[in-house]
Amino acid sequence: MKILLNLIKYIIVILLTFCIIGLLIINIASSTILKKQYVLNKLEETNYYEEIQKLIQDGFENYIGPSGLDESVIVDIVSLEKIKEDTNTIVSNMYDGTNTELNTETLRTNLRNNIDEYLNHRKLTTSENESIEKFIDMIEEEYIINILHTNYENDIYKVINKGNNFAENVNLVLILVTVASILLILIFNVKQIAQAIANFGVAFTASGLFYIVIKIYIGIKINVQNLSVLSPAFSQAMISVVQNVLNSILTYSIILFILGVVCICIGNSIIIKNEMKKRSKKKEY
Amino acid sequence: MTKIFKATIIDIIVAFLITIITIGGIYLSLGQEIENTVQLINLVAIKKESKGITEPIKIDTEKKLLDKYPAYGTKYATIEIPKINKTLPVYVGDSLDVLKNGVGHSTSSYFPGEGGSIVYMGHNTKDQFHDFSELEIGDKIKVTTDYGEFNYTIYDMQVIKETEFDKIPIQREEEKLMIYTCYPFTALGHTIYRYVVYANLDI
Repeated sequence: MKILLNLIKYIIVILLTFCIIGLLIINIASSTILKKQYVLNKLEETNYYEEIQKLIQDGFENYIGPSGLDESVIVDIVSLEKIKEDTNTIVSNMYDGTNTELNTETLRTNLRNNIDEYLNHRKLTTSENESIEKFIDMIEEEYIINILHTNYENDIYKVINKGNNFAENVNLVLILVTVASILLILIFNVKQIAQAIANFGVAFTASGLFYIVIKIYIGIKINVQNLSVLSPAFSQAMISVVQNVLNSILTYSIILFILGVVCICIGNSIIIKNEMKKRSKKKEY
Repeated sequence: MTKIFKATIIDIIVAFLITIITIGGIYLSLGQEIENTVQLINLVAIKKESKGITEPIKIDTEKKLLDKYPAYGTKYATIEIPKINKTLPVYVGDSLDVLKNGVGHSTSSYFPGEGGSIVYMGHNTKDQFHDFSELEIGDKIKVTTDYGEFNYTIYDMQVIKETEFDKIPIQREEEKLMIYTCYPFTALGHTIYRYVVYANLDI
């Protein structure tokens, strides 16, 4: 009977460990990669907008060579604020499911004005006008490609939305199971709460160790510093996000491990001291 | 104190065992998927370090085949067109990024020495092919690669549309060099025409 009770106790401790593991990763994901404001902050931190501006300008320069126009026509046709605004629109489309299209009228107007000025406002032939319109179309497309980087905004929104819903539902379930496990451990150890503290300590230590192992595994298997996704600017932002998440995991896992060991020590020292008190009382009698 | 220490160690060992069981369970049920995901990430999303100096390319002159091919975006040759006083680097690839640096080599065509069609392209800017209109039949072009020197003589020039790919045929029967640039040379904006120079290999 005692063995069975101990077995049940350890099963509940294992269940509590799983709950802590689940709660940690879900809450880290919800507060980082699944949160729009976090991603926008990371883009700002990693100078993403400035890097994209350079990339866009380099992209425009590719079209100048065959165009017969001077490089001055592509100067200042799109501002940093406009790039930020358009990038934020894309991010909103991905996180909020809005389907806002990018507005490139300002870019087209600025480019047309620059070309007119370069050509001293001379009257152009129909075919020259057509060629220049085509050139403006290509510059506009280059801008959209560099800002957008993907045609899968809607699909990304579905994944993020699913992720958020999943996190919310599973979080609730995990919280309920955690509370239930804690109550059961307390009930099983109602005569000796110190044993419950030691059991909690085992759960904290195990979950802390689990994430330490995961962090080490990822560190060995994936060279996060060399992550390369879509563009160097986007890669830098992604590296920052991934490193932040991994650092959070490591911090929490170390805290859990230390807290677990402390709870085990406290729990066991109270148990042993109580046992010694009982024995010395028995001896007196 | 010893009893507390022993009891603590036992509980920490239990925690280790729980961790091992959890990781073991995940590995047994999802191990293959995890490995595949890690391999995919490393293949697709991790920059590879460049190996630095590579061995020189060799050509089998009988089989007319290179033993290895230069990577996309790398410079592998120099093209000289004495008539218009141009010596330009040749890069593998035809993207706008490549063409910014010099002459591009279409990756759907053969390499000099392989006995087939070689397609080069460049901008009609003053530092590249702006003076192509001065070229005449009989003018010489020299391509110097890491594995040999190849001399060509121009036999034709044509203006084609950018979509007329049949005017730049890829074949393996005889070595022909075809170089094209945008036309007219003073066009503004985007042009749909290309000026193509055709040259045969000097035997």
